[in-house]
Amino acid sequence: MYKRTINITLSILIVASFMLASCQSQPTSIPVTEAPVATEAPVATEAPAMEVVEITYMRQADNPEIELDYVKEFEEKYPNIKVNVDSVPANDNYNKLVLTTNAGNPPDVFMSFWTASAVSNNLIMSLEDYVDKEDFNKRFSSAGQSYAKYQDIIYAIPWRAGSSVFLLNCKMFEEAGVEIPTLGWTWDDLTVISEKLTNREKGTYGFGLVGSSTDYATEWQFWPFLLQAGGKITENNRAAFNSEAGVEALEYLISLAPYIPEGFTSMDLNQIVDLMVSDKVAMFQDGPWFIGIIQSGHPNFDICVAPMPVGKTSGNIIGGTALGISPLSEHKDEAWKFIEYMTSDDVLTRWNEATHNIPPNNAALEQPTYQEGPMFVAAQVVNQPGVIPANQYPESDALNGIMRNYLQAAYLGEMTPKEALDKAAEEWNIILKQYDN
Amino acid sequence: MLITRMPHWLKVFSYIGLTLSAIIYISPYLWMVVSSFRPSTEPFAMGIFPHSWTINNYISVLQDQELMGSFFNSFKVAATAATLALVLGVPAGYSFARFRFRGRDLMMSFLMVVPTFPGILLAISLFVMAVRFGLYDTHYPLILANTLLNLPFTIWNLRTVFEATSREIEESAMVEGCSRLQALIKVVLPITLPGLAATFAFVYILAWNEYLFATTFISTNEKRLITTTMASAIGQFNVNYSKLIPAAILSTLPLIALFILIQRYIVKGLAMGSTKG
Amino acid sequence: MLEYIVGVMNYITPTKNFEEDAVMRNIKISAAYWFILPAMLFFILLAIYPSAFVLILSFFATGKGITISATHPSFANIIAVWENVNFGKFMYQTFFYAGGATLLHILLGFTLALILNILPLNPAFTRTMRTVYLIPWAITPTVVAILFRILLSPQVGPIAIYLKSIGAPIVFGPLGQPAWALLAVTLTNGWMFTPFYLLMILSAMQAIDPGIYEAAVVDGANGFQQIFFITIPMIKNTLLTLGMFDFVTTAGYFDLTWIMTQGGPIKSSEIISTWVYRTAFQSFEFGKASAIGLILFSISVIVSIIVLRAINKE
Repeated sequence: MYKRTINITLSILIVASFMLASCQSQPTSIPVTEAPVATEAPVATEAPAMEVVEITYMRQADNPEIELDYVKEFEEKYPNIKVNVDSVPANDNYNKLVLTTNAGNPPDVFMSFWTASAVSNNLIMSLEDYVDKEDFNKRFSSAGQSYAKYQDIIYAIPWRAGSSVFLLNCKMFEEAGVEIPTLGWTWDDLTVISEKLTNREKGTYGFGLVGSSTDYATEWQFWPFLLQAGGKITENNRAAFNSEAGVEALEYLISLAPYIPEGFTSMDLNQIVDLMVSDKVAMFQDGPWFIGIIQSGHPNFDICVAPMPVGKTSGNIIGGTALGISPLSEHKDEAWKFIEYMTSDDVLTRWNEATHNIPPNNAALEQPTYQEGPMFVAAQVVNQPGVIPANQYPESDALNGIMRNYLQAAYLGEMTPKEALDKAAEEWNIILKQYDN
Repeated sequence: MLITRMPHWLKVFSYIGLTLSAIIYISPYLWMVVSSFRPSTEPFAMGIFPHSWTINNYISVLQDQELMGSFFNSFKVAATAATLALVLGVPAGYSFARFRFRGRDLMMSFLMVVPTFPGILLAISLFVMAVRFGLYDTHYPLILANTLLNLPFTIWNLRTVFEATSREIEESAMVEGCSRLQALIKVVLPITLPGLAATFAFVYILAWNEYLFATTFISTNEKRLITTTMASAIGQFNVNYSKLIPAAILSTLPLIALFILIQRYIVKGLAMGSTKG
Repeated sequence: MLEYIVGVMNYITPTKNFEEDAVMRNIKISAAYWFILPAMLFFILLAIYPSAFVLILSFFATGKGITISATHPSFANIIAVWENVNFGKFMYQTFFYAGGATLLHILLGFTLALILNILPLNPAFTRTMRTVYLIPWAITPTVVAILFRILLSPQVGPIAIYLKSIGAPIVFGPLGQPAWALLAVTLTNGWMFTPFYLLMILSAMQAIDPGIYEAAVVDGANGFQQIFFITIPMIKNTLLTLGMFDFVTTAGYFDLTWIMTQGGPIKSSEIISTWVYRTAFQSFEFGKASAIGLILFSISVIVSIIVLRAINKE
């Protein structure tokens, strides 16, 4: 008899909590765009007001701390706005945004490097109503502008933006008597140079390619070659990389395998940089932020920069990070003021120069820092023809993961390039179909 | 001890063999310790051992206020979670061990399957709960989550501990007029102290090394736990090994100290627990 | 519906023979429930909500996010998961990972516990050994995963450097090879958590009354016989329960695999937990992710019940 009582009680409890839970967790769907709400109680004027508004800013924990100085400057300028800084490990930023948005307490401002994904999941709001378009178009380079937009709507204001460059080990080039490539060098040149710099017995390799399952670089390093072969990533909301150009690009990269360190399907960017700094790899290509990363991590290392080679045509991708606002923010005006300040010409210039990054605004690019040396080359690359912003497709995380998968299959020889790209395109289209509108 | 006589050569062989296998087993950890002295400008590819040894990594980690503060936060959360687990688990474990009642096996099965719940899904739902109750960015949901995660194991472990102690002890106390609860607290617990200590240590260690909840539930730097602070060395593009490895090694030291402490307890106490009280 | 649930629960609760404790039964039973109350209350308050949350999402959230889009329970999510072309592959890989790690934990843990327990060595030495063997468990799993990526790297890690220095022709990079990635992750898990199981088994062994061994020695049993006829049978239940606990917790374990391989290369090390993560955070389909979790949970429940009934039949 007791058993039955217990069982009934437990069953009732479980069913009751179902109903309880369903009452509680009925979040209304998050609207895609929101018209800016008329200013709420605390008015953010520059005169000290009675009420202090608190906004949360989620940043990448590993970014240089100098960023926090700028936050303090902002707080001094606007004494009625207090900024709570939440430093989250880089790879958990997106997850935390997803969780907090679903729970209803997202950060007001955050640093986005996955804007397209965020848009398709309603995590970020359009800034069209806040941005002064004229000012935006004037101040920011075309690269900077393109990256912060998705489907032609401005969702975030760029902090740093840059196209991929070739990062070279000056010493290895010198010792092999190879000249640093300049604008206009071709795929054939790349093959020749890689070969000259490879000496397997000594353990040196000419070209570093990332193929790891855990690194965005695997697909990031493929896109420029696809574009240089004349291909496209997507077209009309469908995958377009499995064209002849795509196959050509992938086959070309595979042809460089003799000059790439063995086992590169488990190599990530960390390891490539490690190899380059120990004079074992002569060059690799990735975003220009690596100039800063390598310079600050290894000040005694001589780094040279070269632009991308030209295939059938020139092509490159732009990446970067930008500041965005959550659609659920309750202090959108204050959040916008914060972004406005952090992306003002002055702050952007100082911020990028201090962290050795390529700025997205023209005023900064005109600074002497970017007129010579590696920074100059990196800054120029952005203005090359055939440069498109990266991740301009919904669910970019998932799609990039698929691409990574199949690139590895091709690199490992488990599929031919054509098979791999076709299969990847298939899976891409299944997801992209959901976003036909 | 099972084997009371052993030929001398076998003894020597055992000592050497065990020591060697122990060294081999923890060799990754030894590599970590060695690498923690590697300056940040020296790449791993240069060699297994650092070319130039430096203690600057440790100095900068020890001077990092936030990192040191997060040690304390982790201690707070882990110790509280372990204590709470014991407070809830002791009566429950005792009940499972001593009584036979309907629904006992059902509940034991229930306890066994709770840990199979994928952590991420649990994190999502507990996170929503925490926010709804206004507990976001406090240590409370962390403590509760860690207790919850480890409670099934705690109860099961304590049940084993109580089953191993003979019933006569509390029964003679109850004959002398104690209630069962009093008997439990005054007589049984002191004897099972080593088992309790071991369980406490287990939960403490599991809570100390927990990452998922620690990162999502806290947003202010001062309240961070050690696992999150270490993870901040893992960047989007590169990992700051000269910060990560020393911090990780330091993080293992309190736990190793804890191991050493409970070792003494286990050896001394368990032998006592199975004989007359 | 309610009757059905009750019926199922009645079925899975084995009946016990209460005649023996008839005298103490009435007093004991109510005390029993009072003692369990705090823990069970804690569970109900904290664990039932997430379970309900997951259940509701699985059956009602057929779109994106955690919004409830269906008005009546639909199996769409579960069917979509079941029909996923990789479902079988992921299940197999999860079982390989969980099973392999469990076997390692229990076998290695048992062997080490046995050696440390039965050999008449200097107690200080034994204590030191026990502490040393516990060290891998003290390192935070996220750090282990990141560092093992370097350790197992084909160019940069110490193992690779050593192999190159002796001129070995093989390329040692398990995390980048589909044939080896899952094994590498399984072994890493084995390395990390064996100490925990070592300690548990050791405690269980030391709880065995030494008197039994002494009696056996008097009867003329040698070392091996003692192990097989005393040690193993007496801790058999502990081993079984530990193994089951190990299996189900490892099957849902996320951190290590995600950071080491993210399920790659070519999905060769994708397990249920990484699949759940992808579905929830990358594709933003929380309903489907909950459905996957639900399937795993159901399988674990069935396995646990089978094992527990087998134990209780003793």
